[in-house]
Amino acid sequence: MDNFKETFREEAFELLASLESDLLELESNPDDKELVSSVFRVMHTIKGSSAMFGFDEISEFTHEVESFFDKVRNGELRIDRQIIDATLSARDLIREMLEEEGDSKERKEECEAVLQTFRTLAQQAKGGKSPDAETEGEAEESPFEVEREESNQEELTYRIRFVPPSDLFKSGTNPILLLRELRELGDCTIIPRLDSIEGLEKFDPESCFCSWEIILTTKADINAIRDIFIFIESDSTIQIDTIESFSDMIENSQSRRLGDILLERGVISEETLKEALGKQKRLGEVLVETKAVSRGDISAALQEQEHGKRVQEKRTATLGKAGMSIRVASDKLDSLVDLVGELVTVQARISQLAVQENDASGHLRLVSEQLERLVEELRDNTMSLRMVPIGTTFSKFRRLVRDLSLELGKKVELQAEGAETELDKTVIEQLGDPLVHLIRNCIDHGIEMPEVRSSHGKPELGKVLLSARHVGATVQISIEDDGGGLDRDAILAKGIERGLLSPDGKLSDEDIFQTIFLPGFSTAKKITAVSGRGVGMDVVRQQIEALRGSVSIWSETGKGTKITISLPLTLAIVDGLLVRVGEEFFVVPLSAVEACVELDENEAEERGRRRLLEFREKLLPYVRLDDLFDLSSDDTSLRQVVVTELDFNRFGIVVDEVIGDHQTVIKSLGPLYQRVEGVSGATILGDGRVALILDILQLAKISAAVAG
Amino acid sequence: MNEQNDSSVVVALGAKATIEQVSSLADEIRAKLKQTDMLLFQVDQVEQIDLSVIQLMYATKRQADKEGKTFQFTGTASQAFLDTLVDAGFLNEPVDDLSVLHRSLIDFD
Repeated sequence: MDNFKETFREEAFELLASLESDLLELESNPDDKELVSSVFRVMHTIKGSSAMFGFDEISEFTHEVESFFDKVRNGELRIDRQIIDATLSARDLIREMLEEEGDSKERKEECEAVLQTFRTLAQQAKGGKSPDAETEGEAEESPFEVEREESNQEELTYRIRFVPPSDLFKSGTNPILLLRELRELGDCTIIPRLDSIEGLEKFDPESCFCSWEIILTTKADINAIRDIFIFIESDSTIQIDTIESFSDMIENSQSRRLGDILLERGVISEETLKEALGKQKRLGEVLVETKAVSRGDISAALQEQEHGKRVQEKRTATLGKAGMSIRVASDKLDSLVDLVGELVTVQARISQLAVQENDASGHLRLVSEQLERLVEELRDNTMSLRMVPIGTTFSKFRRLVRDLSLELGKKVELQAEGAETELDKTVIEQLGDPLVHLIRNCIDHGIEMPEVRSSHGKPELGKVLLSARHVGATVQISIEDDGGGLDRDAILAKGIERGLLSPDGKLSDEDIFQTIFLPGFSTAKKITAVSGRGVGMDVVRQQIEALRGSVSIWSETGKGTKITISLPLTLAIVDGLLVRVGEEFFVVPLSAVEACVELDENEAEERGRRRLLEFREKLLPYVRLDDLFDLSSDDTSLRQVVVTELDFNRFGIVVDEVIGDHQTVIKSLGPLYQRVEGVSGATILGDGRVALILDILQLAKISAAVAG
Repeated sequence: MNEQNDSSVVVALGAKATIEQVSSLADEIRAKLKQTDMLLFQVDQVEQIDLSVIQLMYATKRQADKEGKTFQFTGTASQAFLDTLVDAGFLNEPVDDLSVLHRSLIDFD
């Protein structure tokens, strides 16, 4: 049951996410009936499923909101800001109730307050009817009873025999209207029977000779079916049976045979069936010829068979659709990626063996190449399983923008482009906070107040554009506003004042703007609850860099600001530079590598504890990996320096040999090694040896610390 | 009496073909069936039809079959006519060609 509850929770969270997005959309398009229906359906589904899984508080709460939206759906109420506000609050409360089960007095009060808002809104729309009367009215009307039954019921197939009285027409009843109502309950096959009509001789045109057999597959329960016949049930024969064999048939994907249907309908006996089957002719023909059944019986049974096939096809199609996306626990995917990583390693070893071993026939090499292709494909496919569209994250920001702009009295619209762009799930999860901060900054500092915008000839409604696109092996996400832009001179002055920028340096606009990402930098004239504490932007950059990404910035006074984040598609694979120190191998992430140069130790300087070399006419600090990790290195005076640049810090890493490019699957370190500084993970090389992946950011800090 | 040619006779349904009209319609059909070997049913004007008239169609067909006569539909069918047949289960889906309607009607032919 706990598993089911968990699944319900997950699905409810997804529904609430789409609800939020629909509501925000609805706010812009209040007359969009499809969106209103969508909100209603979400409430309806949550209400039904929460009742089923024992979340009674949610079910009761949602029921009232659903009732309210039914009125909106029926055109009794029109969407406005107050309704959107109340529904968003209701959505937040449902989420809270899902997250924290159990009674809470405070929450009950909050729920009651939200429901009261809905009642008041409904009352206002009705022109002053009291909320109590409203509730009573709803209880009497009970517009949702049938639907509540539907949602909790399993789909069943019923055979309904409806024999109206012969004087049916005299009562003014039109049975076709009842049949139309039945059709609304589900998949319906209506089989009329006119067996008693033989001709015009004894035919009384004002009498009813018709009866029906109806095969109905529905989630509605038997009472909902009976309700349809309520006004004529005393004079008619109404027999409703569940066709048990239908569920079995659908379950087993089999068609019901005509003979079985006729047997089940009680039209023929088993003996008659056996006899007819023995005649090696079509069963229906034999039975009609021998007058065991009428043509009408055969026709009815064939239609029932057809109904079964149709329902089965529909079910298969639905299952097929469900099969297109299945829910898999993310740790299973992670473990699959690990296994594929192992496979990549083994494949690399085989490739190496194929090259090294005396493989005169070339068979080993051939197999190794085939394996390499397959493994590569498998790796790409596995990685793609973790790819999810970034739009899921984007949609969360619409609420943020709405609430924040209201809070600040600004008019801001969020536009999103490239929501379908896919990115590794882990990257997306870790991207949320930095993006929230950047968007907050756009609204707080970037977009001007409506009157200011008007005075500058801009539309009052500011725009924040969130976009994503693939650029090679990276994804570029940009956050762009059409606000006032960054104040270049103020940033320069502050940067110089804080010692972050050199007063005599030749700095590009980008260099100056990048200062806002440095720790402690803030030009906000006042600290607001939204941003401006000067601790955010540097954290944003650190978070992006921790994802092996980078941030660039463009801004123009009066026109706006654009911050672009570049991220690798996945965190599971790193493009690295394989280096060697003595017997040990290391991988330097390629994104941080700027150059590789030779180090002539005779030319290198040691100033105190600082080790420096000249690189592009500047002094470059460097660290020796053999010293740092206490390794024995080659006895040579000519070593290699890998020049890295990250976080505006350029420094060198001295190694014995630079081997070359190496794309590798990252394996995390065990708990014992997780605190080792300067190393972010490991990878296994083709010959089975382990290479540690260097954490450049940490190494830069170590380098700075060593230099004092 | 509407006569289409020497051998066929047409029964044309009006806009309303319901229980109020069914008795007189039955009398008309009985009379016409006696005079012809081919009775044609014209339904293009029908705006409203109920079960009583549908039953009458079936009774006419069975009577015609018994007497070795032909009973068929002619012209075009109104949407209301076809929709009612579908709703009551006599037709699985509306047909475009009325000359084949008799074959599509459940248990008609």
